[in-house]
Amino acid sequence: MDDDELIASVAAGDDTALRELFSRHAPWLAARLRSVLSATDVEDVLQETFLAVWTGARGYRPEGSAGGWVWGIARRQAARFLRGRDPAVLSQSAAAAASGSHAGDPAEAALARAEITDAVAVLGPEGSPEREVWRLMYCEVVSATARRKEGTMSDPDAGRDHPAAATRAHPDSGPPDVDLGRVWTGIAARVWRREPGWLEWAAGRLLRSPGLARALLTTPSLLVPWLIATVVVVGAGALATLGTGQPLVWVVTPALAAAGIAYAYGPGMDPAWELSCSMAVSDRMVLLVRALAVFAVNAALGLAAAAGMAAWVITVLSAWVADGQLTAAVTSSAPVVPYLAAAACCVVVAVYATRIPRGMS
Amino acid sequence: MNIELTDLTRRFGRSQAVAGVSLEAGPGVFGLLGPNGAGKTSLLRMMATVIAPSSGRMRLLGRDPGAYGQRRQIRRRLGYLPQNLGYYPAFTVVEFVEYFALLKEMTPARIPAAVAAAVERVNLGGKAKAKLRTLSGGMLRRVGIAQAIVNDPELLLLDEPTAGLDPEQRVQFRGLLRGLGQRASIVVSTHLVEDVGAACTEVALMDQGKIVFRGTPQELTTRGEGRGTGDAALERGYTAVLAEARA
Repeated sequence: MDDDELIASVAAGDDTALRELFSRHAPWLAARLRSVLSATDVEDVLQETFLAVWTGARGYRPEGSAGGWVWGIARRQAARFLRGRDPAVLSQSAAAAASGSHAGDPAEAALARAEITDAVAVLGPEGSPEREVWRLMYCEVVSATARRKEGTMSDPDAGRDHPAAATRAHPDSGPPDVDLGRVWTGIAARVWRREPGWLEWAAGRLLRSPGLARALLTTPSLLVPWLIATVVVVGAGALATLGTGQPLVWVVTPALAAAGIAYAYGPGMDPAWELSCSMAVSDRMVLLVRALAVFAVNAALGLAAAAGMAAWVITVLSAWVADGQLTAAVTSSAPVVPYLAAAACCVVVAVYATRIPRGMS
Repeated sequence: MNIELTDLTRRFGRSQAVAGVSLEAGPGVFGLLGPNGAGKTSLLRMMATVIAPSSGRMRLLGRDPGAYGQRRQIRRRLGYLPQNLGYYPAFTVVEFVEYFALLKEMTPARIPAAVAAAVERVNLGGKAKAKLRTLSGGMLRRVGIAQAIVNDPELLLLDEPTAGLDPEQRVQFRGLLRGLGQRASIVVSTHLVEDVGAACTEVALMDQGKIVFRGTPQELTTRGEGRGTGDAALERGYTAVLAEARA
């Protein structure tokens, strides 16, 4: 996969493509940045660079070099980083290079110098014929011209669009004092991070435990029995309501919910039970919170269904009072229908949540 | 001492899985060897605070796991890989590791970096967002190791950690163990003696619920000289000690 394809994958949210892009480009970026920044600062700049690649990959147009695009981002990050520093702490070489078009910006000057140094390194080792020719043609002539005209380097951004050359000049590992593994871990931490939904966030605040909230809302083994308990309770409510005036329902339904919750508690339903038992968030606390949540959900479902059905009966059917039989039929079945509807919805969700994926035994 | 066990026993009905084990261990990698049914897993589960001992005294990380508050403190600093790792098939690798980091009551702000580091340490970075049901047995084992080390535990208990790992992964895992063992107490239950020889600083051999040998891997090797059966020196030591204990 070439760089353009990798960036397209990154734009589609593929973190493995970002990882591959990082492994290809981070070493030479680190080597180039290291000439103007400390190792720690290089790590910070690289992290911000690849996070910017992650968030900005959709804006990439495969017209030039992908490496050049990445370097452009790194350059901006580094310049921003350097500008935030006291100019006095910029290296001597950066200050020396701060002339001409970059006279007012030591950060830009330092980066430009790094780019030129990097590009020249491609020509060969110090003292090689190519390097000597370059020195004679560029440094000597420019220096003389500069002395005469008080000018500066003709192209301070030389090498910006030639990262491939820079890649050849540097080994894959990057500078020895820059920990690219640590940089990637920092990037991965941000890319892989899962933000909790509003319900989980609220539950976490209410319970004062993000672990409990996550256990309550995201663990399939907890959620499915919860739904089953709800189905049983609401279904029992519907059956009991058929025989009006039976107070048994108020006694039986909480017991059924409790039975459902108890069924879910333990190694039978929870595949990670053994691990859960060694956790700081107690499994019994999870059980207690789950029980409260099931009762709360059941109560809310019942109330919502009853209120909704009552509103429907009042607003729609009251207009049909002319037909006495219809009114009687509707009003007699109305108390049952919301329970049955809610139970049916719960059954659908429970069946969907417990389905066996295709290809799995 | 991070682990202090005194005359620890555990019964399951009429059978006694652990019969009076006394053990002390500080930082380092401690290997627990023994045949099937020797009581290794039961001992490890007691140390993981999953089951309570029937009798005896146990202190972990200087605390009493019998008391609720102290048990909670132990569990925050504990990493545990069970023999049979149960998992939620629809979770991704990162979600699974993050879930247990939350249950270990790690500071939420610390969790993303800790999860990323743990996943990278077991070389699963390329599968970070893969659903667990799509992973091979060896990868799942590594996911289990990642959740065990995510909180940088002071006490790490690993039950058959190398089961299902290929030779290259096993070599990497031993390197990881040696690194972690610099400051944490690691107990590795295994029946693969070569793992013990390569990674453990100390070893105990269990049989029928009791510790029948304790020493360095070299000492176990020495016990097998001229005796025992097996291809490797450590295996000969293992079989010689077992034969001696059963005689």
